Amino acid sequence: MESAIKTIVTTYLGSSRGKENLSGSAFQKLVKKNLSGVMEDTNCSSAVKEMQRGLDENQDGKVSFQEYLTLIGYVANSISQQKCGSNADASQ
Amino acid sequence: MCVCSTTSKLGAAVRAGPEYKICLTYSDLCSTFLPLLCQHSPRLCTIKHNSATMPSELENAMESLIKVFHKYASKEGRSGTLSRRELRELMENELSGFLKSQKDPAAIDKIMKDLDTNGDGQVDFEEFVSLVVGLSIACEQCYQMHMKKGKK
Repeated sequence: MESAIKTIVTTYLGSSRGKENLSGSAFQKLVKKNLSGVMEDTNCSSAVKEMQRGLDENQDGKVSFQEYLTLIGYVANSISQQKCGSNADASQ
Repeated sequence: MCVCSTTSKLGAAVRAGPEYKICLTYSDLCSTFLPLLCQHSPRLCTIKHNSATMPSELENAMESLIKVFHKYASKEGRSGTLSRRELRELMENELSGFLKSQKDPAAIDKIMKDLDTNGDGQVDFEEFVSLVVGLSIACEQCYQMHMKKGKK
């Protein structure tokens, strides 16, 4: 679990390259490279942009580490729910 | 929510060891991260049901977080949630390198209470994510500190 947390952090830092926030294009690349297996439409730049707007709590047009974590939390939660749902189906 | 003041407080709470080790006490955790409970936007993107492609490292990381949660959550009582004892076991076994172990039952109670936002006495996955967010923020601060040192 600790290595999972490290991966989450280093993935972000690898994309931000020392800057405090991810620019729109860096975020696009991050999503496309790392989340295309679990999310639809990661190749569609307008869909990713839409998602970025949804995350952007402070409306600065960039993605901060906190905003990135919101996305990770959301995705992990969705996958977890999906798994629980399919387990429940299987046990019936 | 004032992010700046909480993250700087956190920076003070985090002491980076030789190999990016995070040493935090439970009370650091309680006072600094847990106010940052993450808010989930209702629908950001559609989640795929099945994927044929190789999972990325980040996807594997999320997968292992989910596995760890469910491994402990299924031990006793309600299977989709962590009881107080399950939370304690998870923190002792999976986070021993990040968190200083403290044998203070009050500390666990405090964390439990802070994580349990809906007040049902259990920690569900969404509430567990808050803990992961807190630890990630601490971890990020450590890396940043090391990078700055490295540049000198």
